[in-house]
Amino acid sequence: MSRRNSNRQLVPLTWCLAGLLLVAACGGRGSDADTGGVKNDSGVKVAQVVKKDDCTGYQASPGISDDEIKLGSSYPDSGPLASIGETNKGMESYFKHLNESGGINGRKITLIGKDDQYDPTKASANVNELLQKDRVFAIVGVQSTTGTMAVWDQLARECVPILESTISSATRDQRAAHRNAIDGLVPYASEGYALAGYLTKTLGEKKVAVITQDGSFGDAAARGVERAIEENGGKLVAHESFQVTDPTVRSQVTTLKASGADALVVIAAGTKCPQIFDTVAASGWKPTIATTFTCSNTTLMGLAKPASTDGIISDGWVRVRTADDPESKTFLDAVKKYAPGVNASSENVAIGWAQGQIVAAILERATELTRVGVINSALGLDGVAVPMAVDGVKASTSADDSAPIESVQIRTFDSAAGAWTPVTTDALVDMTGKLGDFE
Amino acid sequence: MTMPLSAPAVAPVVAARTRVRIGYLLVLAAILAAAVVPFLAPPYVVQNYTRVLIVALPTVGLNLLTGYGGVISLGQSVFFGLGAYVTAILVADHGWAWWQTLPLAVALPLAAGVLIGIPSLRIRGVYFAIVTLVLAAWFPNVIQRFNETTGGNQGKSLTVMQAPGWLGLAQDQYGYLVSLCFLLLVLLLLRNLARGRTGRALTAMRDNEVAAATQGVDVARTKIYVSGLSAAAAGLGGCLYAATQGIVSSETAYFTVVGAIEFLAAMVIGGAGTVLGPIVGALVTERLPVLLSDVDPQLAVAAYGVLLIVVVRVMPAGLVGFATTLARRLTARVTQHHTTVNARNEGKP
Repeated sequence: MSRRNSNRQLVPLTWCLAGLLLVAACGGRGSDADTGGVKNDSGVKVAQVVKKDDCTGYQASPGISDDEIKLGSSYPDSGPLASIGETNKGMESYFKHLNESGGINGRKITLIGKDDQYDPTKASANVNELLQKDRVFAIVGVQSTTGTMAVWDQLARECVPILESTISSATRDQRAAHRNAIDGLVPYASEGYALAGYLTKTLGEKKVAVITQDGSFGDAAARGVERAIEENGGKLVAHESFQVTDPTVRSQVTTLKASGADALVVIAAGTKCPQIFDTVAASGWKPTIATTFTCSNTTLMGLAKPASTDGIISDGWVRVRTADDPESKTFLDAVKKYAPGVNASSENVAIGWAQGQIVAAILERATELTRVGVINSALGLDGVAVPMAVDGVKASTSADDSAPIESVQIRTFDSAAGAWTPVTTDALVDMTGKLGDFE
Repeated sequence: MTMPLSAPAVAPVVAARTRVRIGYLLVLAAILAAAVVPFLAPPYVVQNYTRVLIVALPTVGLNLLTGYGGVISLGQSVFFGLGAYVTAILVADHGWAWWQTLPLAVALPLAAGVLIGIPSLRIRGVYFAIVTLVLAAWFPNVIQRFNETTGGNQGKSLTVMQAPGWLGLAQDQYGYLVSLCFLLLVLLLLRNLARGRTGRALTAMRDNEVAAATQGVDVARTKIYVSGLSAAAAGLGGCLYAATQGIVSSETAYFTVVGAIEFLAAMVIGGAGTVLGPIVGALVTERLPVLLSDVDPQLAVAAYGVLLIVVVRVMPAGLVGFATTLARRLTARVTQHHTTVNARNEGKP
């Protein structure tokens, strides 16, 4: 009886599997046809680093029409890391502002954004949907390294540009294997190098300690820190790490304090930053503190006690927004108009605006609006001005350098004013072409 | 000698048979519909539904442990992650084919499930749920701690499964069909298990552990056995996840507490203690938030939460339980009507 029952259960399943195989045999899917290139009036001649023949299943110009350039983006718009997604609000505001003044050679930019909650699986699903359903021309502003890396193999094969997206912890070899991906931030190793260089060379601190967040971000930045200390005759006396989920950092700070370090580099993000600053202050230790831009958001700094954050050193490549600066005014007015619910004083929004300017420059400089043309344009930036960047910071790339911004301005935090001030007006640290040295 | 049955006595038997037949037809239609999806839909849709099939696997496992056995576990993301990392590491770093990793990707979570099942003999109810929740919260930290092997938050990339050339299928179609076949196989096993001795033992244990033991159910053995099987199903899902998605990372939501809660929500929404519930639940938890997010990402979270509360409140037996009750009432009414009409017609001169 039981055997008869199991046989009966197997019958439909067997039929289904047989049907499945039959359909499979007749199945398969052809690839979409190449849609052809579109000329761009004010293109600049650049080296043809990537060629059409290097690509698999290449589609030249989907998402490009006579009056539109369609771009897609995936970023956290909900969940605990939604504040990172503010970057894309800044980028979107810039594109809308640009469209008002005619767009790029008569074509307006449409940015289609999708929420990925900082989950690489969702980022991958979003990017595939943007490319296949929305038929966007390029991907811009993916805000997590893992999110970008979840799709960059596939997109490198198909020669789809990934512009101004976070790949800041990627090594030189990884970048070389993905020439379609252009960094949206200063590489983390370069940032660590700039901060530790300022401590050891300019301020003459010789005994340095470092605390890093576990993961690729912390590891990459720490490599730059170590390099700068070594170059300037300093000594790394202690290195502690923490996990984002650690309830406290007291044991790490106690160990670092016991090392007798005169300076501390904090490589962290989110609410761990004020926690570390307060723990250091509470321990009675008074090192000179330098921290990555990921801690420099004024809202985050405000979460710590003012005495814990006063005089902290950080870096930035986007200009400090002031009322008398024309670019700041344009930015603040546009954000108010196009993204009224967004906190315009957030560093992320300004970074997104600046990233939008770099994307626009890449598109404008492409000799033809094909994917390969745009990738080559992105790899051929030669000191392009970025209005929102600090004066003197220019976007430069090459076949071996996919990081447009490698210069930063050193700043200190004034906790009474709740604002950052450049240490001197021309204190720029230029690390162009140095990324390979940090590995 | 056979006794003629009266109309009211025949009705429930006929209704039950009709229900079974309709049920079979519906399941068959659903399987056929699922099988043609990859040939009609674009690749991104196929990939989305591949994840639904994969998420259904740990949910099926959880359903066995929690839905049938009453042991509340929030650690299913750990076993899912274990399976995924076994496959990712062996494929990416040791050159194995994905299918060669399958036995290990199932065996390791199975062993871990058996180990975790042991404390469930002494730690019961919500306390066991908390123990497993701690494991789920701890797992991403373990991935991070061993980042040289696991790739940490940057992740480990691997080559996704490719269809044999003679099949002529694209990678997304093949991944979908392989996942569908494994899911059907696991469902069939679960169905047989649930209807057999183990299923009866589990249900008895869930309803009253002492009474079940008195009736001869080996509670300890059953709990450990089912805990291992549940983890093995999750491990299989993890293996397929890594082999179809091509990247695993400590930031992948399925390997975190978020994943553990999603699997639990899928089981509850679909219908705990039902065979098809996990698939329906996985479909809702995997696709609904995305669809809502397309409308408004911020409101989506709140709307999804409200919807879950409504489903749990209005349909405590889940969507499948609700549908089964509806179908039972409907077929009973229709059959009753037909039997009465037939009896009346036969009575006519």
